[in-house]
Amino acid sequence: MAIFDALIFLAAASMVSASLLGAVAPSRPSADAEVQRFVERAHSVFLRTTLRPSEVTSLGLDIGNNKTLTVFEIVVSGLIMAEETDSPNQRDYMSGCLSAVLDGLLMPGFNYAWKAEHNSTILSISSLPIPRDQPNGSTYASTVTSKMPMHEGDVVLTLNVWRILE
Amino acid sequence: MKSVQSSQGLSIIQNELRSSSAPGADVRTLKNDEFKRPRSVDGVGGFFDSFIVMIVVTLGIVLVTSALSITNGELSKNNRAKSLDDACQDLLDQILANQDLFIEDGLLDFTMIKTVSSSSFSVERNVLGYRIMLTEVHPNTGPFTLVANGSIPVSLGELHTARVPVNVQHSTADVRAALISVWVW
Repeated sequence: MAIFDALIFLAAASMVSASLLGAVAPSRPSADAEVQRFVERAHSVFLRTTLRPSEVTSLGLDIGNNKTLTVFEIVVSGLIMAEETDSPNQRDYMSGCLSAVLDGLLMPGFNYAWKAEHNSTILSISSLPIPRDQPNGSTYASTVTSKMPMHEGDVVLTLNVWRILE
Repeated sequence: MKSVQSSQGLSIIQNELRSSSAPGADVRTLKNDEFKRPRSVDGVGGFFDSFIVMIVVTLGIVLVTSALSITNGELSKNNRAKSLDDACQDLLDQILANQDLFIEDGLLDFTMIKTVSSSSFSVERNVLGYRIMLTEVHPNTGPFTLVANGSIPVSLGELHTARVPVNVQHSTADVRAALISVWVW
């Protein structure tokens, strides 16, 4: 009988210990909100960044000597060019310039996919495609919608960021 | 004659009784009694039963004590980590709220960053030191230290960091993407 009582005591002690340890387990409820804020801020910083004159010239945009354009202006020009004359090489070069900025701006341990959309024309860059098995709620998105300059309709710019799963 | 015979018979019986109460016979009788005695249902367990119970109870006590000790340690560590995280965020908020540094929200004026000094910031008492860095996303520039308050200790316990993306305006035609990083220890 005494051994039975002792085993009940041990079970109770185990439960108390487990609940105590569970209470101090690291919990970061605000981490998601922090990452979301970071992603939104990074997106607006990205769009406001200017590319160097040499890069802009290489894109084939006729803007005069030694002038620069912001990423947003370059993307708009790129979308217009893509609608008029689709040039894969130019698209690739533009993607390379833009992803160099995003690579340096976003946090390590995260992948991203960014796209600009106007009507049916899409200009996109991504470090990797969004995995299908990504758990719900673990992708952070920032969307900016703006009037398309000198054209009808809106341009929708979307940045998706997700954690690299181990 | 009869009385003589009966007295002899009595002495024989007494002798037999004496011989039956010899030490060896007595022990044998006691042992037999013990074997015959029924075991009690509520009887006290033996030494080994108590020993196992003692081990189980000791295990339970050790378990609870260890959990209490770990909980206490983790709580104090979490409190320290949280206060350093808060200090990081507080420093970032102080930078972003500095109207002299920013042309507009999130657009840092590069010509003004040399005016930043440690006197511009206030930190909590438990912060041993901090460092504020500016890292531009540009191939020709490396990290730039805005403020260094205290040196990073060699035997570092915990180093907390927070970052915020900003634009740095070198000129109207040169706006770069950058990260302001705060390290606190």
